[in-house]
Amino acid sequence: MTPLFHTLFRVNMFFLALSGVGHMPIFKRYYIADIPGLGWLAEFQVTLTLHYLTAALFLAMVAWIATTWVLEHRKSLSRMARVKIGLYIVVITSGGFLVIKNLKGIYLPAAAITATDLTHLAGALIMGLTALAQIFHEKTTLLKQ
Amino acid sequence: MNPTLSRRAFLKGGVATAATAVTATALPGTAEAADPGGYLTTLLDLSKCVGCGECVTACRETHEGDFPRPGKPFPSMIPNRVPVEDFSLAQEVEDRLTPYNWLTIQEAEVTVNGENQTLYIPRRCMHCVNPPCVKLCPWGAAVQEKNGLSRINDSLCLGGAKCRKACPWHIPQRQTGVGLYLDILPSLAGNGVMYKCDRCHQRLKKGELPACIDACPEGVQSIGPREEMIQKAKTLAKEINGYIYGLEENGGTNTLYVSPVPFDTLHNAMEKGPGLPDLAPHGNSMAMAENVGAAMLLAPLAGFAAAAGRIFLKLKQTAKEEDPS
Ligand code: SF4
Ligand code: SF4
Ligand code: SF4
Repeated sequence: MTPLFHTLFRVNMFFLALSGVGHMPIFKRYYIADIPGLGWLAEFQVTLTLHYLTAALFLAMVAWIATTWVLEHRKSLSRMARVKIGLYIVVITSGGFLVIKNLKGIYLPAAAITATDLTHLAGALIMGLTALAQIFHEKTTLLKQ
Repeated sequence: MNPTLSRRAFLKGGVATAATAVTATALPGTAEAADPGGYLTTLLDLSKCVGCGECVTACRETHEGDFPRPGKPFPSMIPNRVPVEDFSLAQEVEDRLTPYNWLTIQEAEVTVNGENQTLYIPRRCMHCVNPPCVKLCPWGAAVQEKNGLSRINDSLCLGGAKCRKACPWHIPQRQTGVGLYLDILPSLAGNGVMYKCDRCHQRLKKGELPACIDACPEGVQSIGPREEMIQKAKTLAKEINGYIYGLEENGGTNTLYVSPVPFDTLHNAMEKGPGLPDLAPHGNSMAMAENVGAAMLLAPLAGFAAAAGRIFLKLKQTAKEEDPS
């Protein structure tokens, strides 16, 4: 992975997460959308579009990483990497169902919709926490050195 | 109460159970293609409505048990600018949509064939073919049934009102002080429950007509599969030299109005505001999700192709270097 790819992945991930959180009506309530330049966070059409576009780029990049790994590297995976892959699968699969649900003429039972929403939300939250824990871990290891 | 997923079951099971249920086996089999052409659709012939309000009364009587019963005082809200929306002291109000009034009659003074006339327009949820209120609810509290009707599960709704913002007609109405949010973090998240016409889904399940259709002495409304009702609306519009609303609005709705005057005339002539929907030519608010959503399947393929292509070129290059002849 080149540094450019890495940076693009992280920046995209940031906007993907931000627009995802924007699906819940909390940015307005908690004054975040009042910050000049952040008003769009309360506009669900904008956050939805951004979430779709960043998700498309995310999927393309994940497919790129997965293909490269399968064809080139194939090293054994650390426990952390396996947890991350599991979380990616949960978030991508549930996200895929939500995209299908949003198409015209698709019927999903109510309980399945709620469960998919919650799975997507919980998966993304754990993914965020894992990323934070990892950054924290890297920083403390660096400091110790 | 709307059934499906009760508040207690939800709280008991929590996120973990819901998540396991989905990731295990529930999902792959559950998404089904429905037939929008067969969605249950109502046709309202506005030239027949006399504004008697029988439908409004019938709706209120039928849904009395579904109306909110908020406990007071309401929990204090953080931050305190979060608006309290309380209609519990205005339950009798009929001249707008409220959590206690899911159907209202709007009026428009217009000229029909050179004569001044008042047209009455019964208004409630349009039951959009691809309803943004349902699709954009972050919580799955709003649902669309197989027959196309949409409704809000009062056991799950947190009252964030995103559905009202997403709805081009701002139909769902909020009552503070009821619902699931009271059991979670009442001061910090949520603000009650949203209410709107549920197309009398429980009466439909018993084989009965929606109460407003049943009660109308003038036979203003008829109901049937969307394709059939579209044909009926077109025939009627031709007969009276009239206009149709709902064919394309917000991507098409399962409610069709036929009027003897153009809808922009009605739109301009009637009072609009909170609880009083307009009749503007709204575009499809789900268009992006419909178009980009379908195209999104291609994104992983692009990533796969790019990576495979790069590796193929690299291998070719290596082979060339190893065997320059
Ligand atoms: S009219 Fe509004 S509330 Fe009714 S289905 Fe459409 S978006 Fe939802
Ligand atoms: S269909 Fe039922 S809920 Fe909807 S307006 Fe008519 S009576 Fe009321
Ligand atoms: S009952 Fe029929 S005629 Fe009376 S207001 Fe309702 S739709 Fe119009």
